[in-house]
Amino acid sequence: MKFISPDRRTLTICWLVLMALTVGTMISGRVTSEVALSAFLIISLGIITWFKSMLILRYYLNLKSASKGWNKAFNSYLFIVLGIITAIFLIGKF
Amino acid sequence: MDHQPQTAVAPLPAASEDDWSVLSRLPGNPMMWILIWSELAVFGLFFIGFAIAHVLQPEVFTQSQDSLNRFLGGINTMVLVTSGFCAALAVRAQQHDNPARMRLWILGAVVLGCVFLWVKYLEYAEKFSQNIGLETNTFYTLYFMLTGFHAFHVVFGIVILIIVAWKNNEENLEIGATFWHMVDLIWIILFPLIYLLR
Repeated sequence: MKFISPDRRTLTICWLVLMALTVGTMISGRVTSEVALSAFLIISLGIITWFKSMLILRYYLNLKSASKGWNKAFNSYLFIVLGIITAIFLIGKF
Repeated sequence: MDHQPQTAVAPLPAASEDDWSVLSRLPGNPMMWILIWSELAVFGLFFIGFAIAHVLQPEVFTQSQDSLNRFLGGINTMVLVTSGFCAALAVRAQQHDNPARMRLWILGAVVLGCVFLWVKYLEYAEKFSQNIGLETNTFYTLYFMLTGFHAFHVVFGIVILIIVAWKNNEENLEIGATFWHMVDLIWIILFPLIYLLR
């Protein structure tokens, strides 16, 4: 399938959202503090990271132009990996 | 023995060189998507291994993690995300027959990639000056291995971007940018895992 780049406006919005989400990651991860993260913040980090990776796949890598099956495969794989990581940290907390 | 009347079987159509079966439904070169899947699989296992090691040695990991500059790690994430944005715009410029603009965007992506590596060098230099290395503890072994392996991908990505900007055609550039976005994607997960989750 030919790679047809998303338009400039879409790419710019995607970049701005990624930057905002990175700030969200830094806030959730308490970058300026050494305190332990609550379960809520650990889950937030997992969800934000999943969302950011989907944005890169869908817009930078243009996965949104691929079939639904491929979109589901990538999203599910990342969801499973990030879900396992989040679950491990939550288990370690309790 | 019964002899069944033979029916004419239509010959199967010859597979075209571009026929990658289901992989053809992915944008760009299918080989790059195979590479992306392989990298995601390998790094995915490393990520889960790191999380398990963290839970098994919480004190060692938390103390060591606290010595990292989390803020700088966040800034480096922004640098890499912006570099990916430049690479995406370079592909778009090439598709609109604007090689001069394409080279400018690639230059932006490469410079930001170098900024990322410079920050990583500062981080490593600080650790080495404190006599912290690969063998200090499990956290640092995994930290240097994972971030070092990723940094190696960044160096390789920069070389690829320079080559595809020089020998530019649409497909080469797409392949180079795809590799660069994959490096970006890995860091998006690596940053919270190594620097933030505790």
